[in-house]
Amino acid sequence: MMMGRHVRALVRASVAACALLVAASLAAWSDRGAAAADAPVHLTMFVFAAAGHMDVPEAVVRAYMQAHPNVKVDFVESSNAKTFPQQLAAFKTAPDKPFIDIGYYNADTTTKGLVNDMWQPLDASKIPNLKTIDAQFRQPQDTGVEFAYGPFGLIYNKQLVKRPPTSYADMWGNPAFQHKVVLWDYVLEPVMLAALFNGGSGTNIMPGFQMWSQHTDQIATFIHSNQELENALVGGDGTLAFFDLQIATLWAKQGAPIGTAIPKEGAVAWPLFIEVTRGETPAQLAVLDDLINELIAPDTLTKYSAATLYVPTNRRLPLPANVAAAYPPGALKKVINLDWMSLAKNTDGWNQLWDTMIKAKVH
Amino acid sequence: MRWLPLAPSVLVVAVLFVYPLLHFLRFSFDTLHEGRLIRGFSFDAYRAFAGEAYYWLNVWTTLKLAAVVTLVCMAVGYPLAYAIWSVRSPRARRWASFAVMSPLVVSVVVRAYGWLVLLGRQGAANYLLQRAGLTHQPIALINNLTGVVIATVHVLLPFMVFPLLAALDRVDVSLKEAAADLGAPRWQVFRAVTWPLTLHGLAAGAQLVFPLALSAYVTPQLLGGGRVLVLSTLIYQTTINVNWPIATVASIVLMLMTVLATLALLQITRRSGRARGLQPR
Repeated sequence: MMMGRHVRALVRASVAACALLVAASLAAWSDRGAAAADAPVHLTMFVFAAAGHMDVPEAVVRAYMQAHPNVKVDFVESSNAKTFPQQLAAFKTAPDKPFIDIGYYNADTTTKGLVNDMWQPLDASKIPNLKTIDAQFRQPQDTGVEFAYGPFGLIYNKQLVKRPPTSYADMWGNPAFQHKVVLWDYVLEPVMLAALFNGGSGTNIMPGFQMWSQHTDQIATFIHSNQELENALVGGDGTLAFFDLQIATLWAKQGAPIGTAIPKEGAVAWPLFIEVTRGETPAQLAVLDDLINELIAPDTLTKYSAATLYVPTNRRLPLPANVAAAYPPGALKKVINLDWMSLAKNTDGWNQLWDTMIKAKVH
Repeated sequence: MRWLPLAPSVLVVAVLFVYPLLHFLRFSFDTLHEGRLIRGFSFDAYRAFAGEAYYWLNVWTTLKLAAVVTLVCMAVGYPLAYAIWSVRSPRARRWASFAVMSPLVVSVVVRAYGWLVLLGRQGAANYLLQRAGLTHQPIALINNLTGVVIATVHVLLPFMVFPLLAALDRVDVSLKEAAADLGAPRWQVFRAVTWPLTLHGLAAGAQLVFPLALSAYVTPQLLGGGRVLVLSTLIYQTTINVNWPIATVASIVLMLMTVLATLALLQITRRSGRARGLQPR
């Protein structure tokens, strides 16, 4: 009898112990799941410092951080020209430790990143809003998202220019602008435009170089920043430039005597991209997919468009009223798409031609 | 053991200067193909630099800018230093020295932008020239070498004036008095006594100004308008364009120019100091 009582006690104790063990295992497993989900994720995000471009992305990301306390995003607000070389250097040195994890980039740096294999192809199945981007703007293998474009055209000093420009050819061929054209240094789009309208193409821009080489007396100065451009135009040292119509419109609203003109050939679509750098951890990629989905959500793109006057590549979205009003009627219908990939692949050779055929002659 | 106290500084220099420099120089052996940096060991960048007239134009303009700035600093700096040295009141002399040094208190970027405004077509300089009847319409004082020289001289003038002041302070006044007593007029006292005894100060000032002018970046970048082609702006631009092999070769060329210029001027400074038999005041 006593033996039986002891055995029953032993069995009860064993069952209790097993139950405890199972319960502890279950708790540990669920704790582990919860710990993984809450594991801290740290990201660095680059946004270029230009009128209005930081506001909407920063608001979206901060809202995301509030909803996901384990996610911390540091912002780097600078220019593509300054940040990209640092990024590339970091990528070459430590490809598994990106200097910037996600960023907003222009066509120039996006294509430079592409040829250096820096950008992470995105998984469209994890970013549902990618389907809302028009097919013509989807990138091969979804290496980044082309989410908006800004129309580029001609800007000029309204006080000094009696007759506004009407064509890109005014830059290289109109004597009224002799010694008055301000060019961005090593920004080859005016050369590409000269090529397109003088028998060249996106891959053969030699006609453009020849045109500019014959008309270097049109050039006032080469600039390297938005501020230098504004100073040159406002000060009258130059009176005509090829530039972002949205930024120029904001300058004009701030009191600068700057006018904008959509040339008869059409505005140039200046695309903006969101890119993720290769070398992210799975946890970082999961958060980045979420963030990109938020950043290209229809309402986010609408707010971004209203803040920057850039046009969303989700063509089903109605344009905000201020964006539609910012451009002359029909200006957004006829848009020139330049061959950015050709530009990236040929940049080193074409930059040398810029030096020898244009800058050396202006010196 | 005597060298042991030097160890920390040597370590700092080795880690923070020599190693990064060698790491940077490594890029000169890479190549750029279709916008992509290819790691390797090639002298293509050196050949490209040596064979391209455009890069030699940058070298020549860099030397020209440095030479012109140095000569202008000498021409302006010597009379200025002499005038300050001639001031009898120590207080007035301190204020005058501060006035010469004051540009150094302001960031070179701020100064460059200031010169952009002053020398622009609608700036104060053109306004005054037209008001004085010297010109009928604005003349180009920026986006060319003229503007760069004006602004760079403004930046580097203190580096010429203070070595000259130090040299003038070391001139033995009794030598001047002796010359005057022997009937030499003031200009001859200056030519025969003061000028030879202060030449080493001029050389010391040039030793500071010339290398600094060689490597000037902000002023040529902002006031040159991309039309003043110097090595520093070439290095910046090729770096931005990811043409790091050329950027590195250009940097090596600039470093060599600076080192050679410094050594040459050091020799001139030493020889002029020995030859003149410096005497303390």
